[in-house]
Amino acid sequence: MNSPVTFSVMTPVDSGEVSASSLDKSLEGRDGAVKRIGSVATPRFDESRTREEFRVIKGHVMSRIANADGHRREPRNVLITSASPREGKTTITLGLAMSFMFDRDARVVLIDADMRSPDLSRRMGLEGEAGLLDYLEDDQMGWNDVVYPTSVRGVFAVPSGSPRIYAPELIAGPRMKFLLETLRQGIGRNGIIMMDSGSVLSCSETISLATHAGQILFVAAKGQTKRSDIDEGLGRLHRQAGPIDESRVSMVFNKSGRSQSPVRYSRRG
Amino acid sequence: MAGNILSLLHDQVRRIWLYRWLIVLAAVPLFAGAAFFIMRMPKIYESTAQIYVDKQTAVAAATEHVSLVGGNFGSGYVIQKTLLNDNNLHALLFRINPAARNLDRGDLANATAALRGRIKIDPDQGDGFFQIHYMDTDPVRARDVVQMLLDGFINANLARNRVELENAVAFLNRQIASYASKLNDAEKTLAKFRAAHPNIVDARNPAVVASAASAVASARAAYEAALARPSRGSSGEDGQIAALRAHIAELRARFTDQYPDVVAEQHRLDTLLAARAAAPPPAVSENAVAEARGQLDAAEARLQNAERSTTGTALDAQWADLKNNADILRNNRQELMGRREAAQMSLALYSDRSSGKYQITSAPIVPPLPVGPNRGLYLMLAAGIALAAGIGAAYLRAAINGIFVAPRELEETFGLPVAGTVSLERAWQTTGGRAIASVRHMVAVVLLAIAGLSALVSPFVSDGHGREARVPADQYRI
Repeated sequence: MNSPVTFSVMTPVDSGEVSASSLDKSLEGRDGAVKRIGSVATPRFDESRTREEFRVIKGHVMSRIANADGHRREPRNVLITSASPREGKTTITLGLAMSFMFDRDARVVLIDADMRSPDLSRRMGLEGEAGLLDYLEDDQMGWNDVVYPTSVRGVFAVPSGSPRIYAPELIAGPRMKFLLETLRQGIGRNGIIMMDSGSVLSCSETISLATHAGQILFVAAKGQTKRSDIDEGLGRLHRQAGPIDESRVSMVFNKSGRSQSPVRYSRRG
Repeated sequence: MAGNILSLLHDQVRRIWLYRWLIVLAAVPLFAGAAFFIMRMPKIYESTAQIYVDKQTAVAAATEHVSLVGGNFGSGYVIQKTLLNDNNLHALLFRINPAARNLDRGDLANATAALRGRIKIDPDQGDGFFQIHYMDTDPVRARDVVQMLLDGFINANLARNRVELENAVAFLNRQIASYASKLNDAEKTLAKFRAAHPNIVDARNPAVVASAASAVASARAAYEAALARPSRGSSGEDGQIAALRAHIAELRARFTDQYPDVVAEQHRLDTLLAARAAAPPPAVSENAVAEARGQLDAAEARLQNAERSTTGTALDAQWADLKNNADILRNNRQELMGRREAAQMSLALYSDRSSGKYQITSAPIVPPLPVGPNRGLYLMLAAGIALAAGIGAAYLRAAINGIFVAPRELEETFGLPVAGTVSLERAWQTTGGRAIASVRHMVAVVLLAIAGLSALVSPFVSDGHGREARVPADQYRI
């Protein structure tokens, strides 16, 4: 499973249709060979407190989806971003994905949209695999060419793909919107698409992604994120992908102390 | 309300704790530098001396009522109040450091103020004792400065006493000369008056009257004796009786009354006395009585003449005034001469170093152990200040960065909901994050090691400081 294999199962590009079962079949590549499986793992996730912390965030996200009332943006498209790098976006993304492992019918697609630092792809072991940018550039590629199964049932991954200097333009293009709509059909009503993007202030494509996101999880790290950076990041989102309000944007307070966690559990799982 | 305040305080502590590496980074070098400085501070030695100003020395007691001044004369009150004036301190400074003569006015004032700050005088509390303290980095210099202050104190007191008493003697000399001149004039006036009126001069003399009265009394006594004196026995009998009595007294001194010689001599004496008693009384000598009567009359006449001459005339009054004036001048002059002698005795008593008025009860000593600096206290203060500076730097850094330490702050600041919090797990940190944390940890350990080493090594390199500026003692020895 260490090298991609060709497959010839589906042609979603042409049809634009995808179902949950077809998403499950993405295990096979275009040539019929089995794809590499992404590894979704979060250290210490075996601890009850960590699980509960992500469950709380998951509950918040899911409640937004459930309570969506004709919002013009799809609430199941969740953008995870921050004001500046190294604030834990990928960790939050993986942790949230892990928290869906206990939901039987849920399907989660993780998109590594951080083109500057594709940590998600690296941590899932999908670095170098055909991914988002390859799909966006190559009209001949189908969605299932870049969707990879992972070690967690119901969780799929879209790696970043080969880096390109015009990545922001590709992400801002209509094919990105098409991909999201296609994947949304695949994940069903209980699924969500989580886009792990770069930081707002350092990656312009994040703004483009935000225009597709019905929910934005804005990660702020304790003792690290500066108020001015958040101000500027939210302002930029508001101006270019707005509006930014409390129905769409939520903060995630990362790297907090154990004593500050609202979840009171011991280290025992 | 209290909960909110506690929560805010807790947030501030969290905020500062996030920059604990900055606290270490700021506090450790500060403390290390301060510790290095403190441990290199020269040792300070304190020299102390004690003087006793005796209010009543033995010599003073011996001259009591003769000496011009009382026991409290020469107390060091004035000097101890003026010992540290600028002039005295300048002199002391120049002795300690001859190069100070070249200082400009401002530097000299600073050096003088510094010297004054190192000198402490415990004033006399009424018991006559007071102490002089001086602190210096050089123990020898400390001792010498106290010795100089001590000598200065005593010499200043002695000089003050001498000047006062010499002024008193000079004043008395002038007064005595003035009275001598006046008395001389009065004597001349008396001589002229006496030459012009010789009779008045003698009669007016009370001594003449008194002499005449005395002569009258003697003559009267002689007259009465002549009347009463009987001429019993011969002078030969009287001589025998007297000789026998003397002989008996001599024998009794050696023997008892029953000794045969004593009994025999006593018998002879009794016999002679009985014989004289049995003889008829002699007649009174008429010639002797008449002679005594004549002498009495003459004495009474002289007395009447003298007494008559003291009454009433203008010449008598003028003579009496002249004599009174001369007597007053003479008496005053005599009194002033007595006081001059007393002043000279006081001068010898209170301006002599060996008079015992000023006794050095404790010569300048320097304990072998320094009195300062209190390195332990200073190190504790330095540690506290360094820690406070580190905390301040951390707080300032946090305030400048505008970081968040609680989800509540995020909500309050941006008005956006917080979906949740995720606790920090070291295992989630990326390689870069772990590397930065490791570097910070290593720097903190190195700084702590430097601080500890500097604190350990400094005592071994701090000895001997403060002696470099020492001036050889003989340059300022008094």
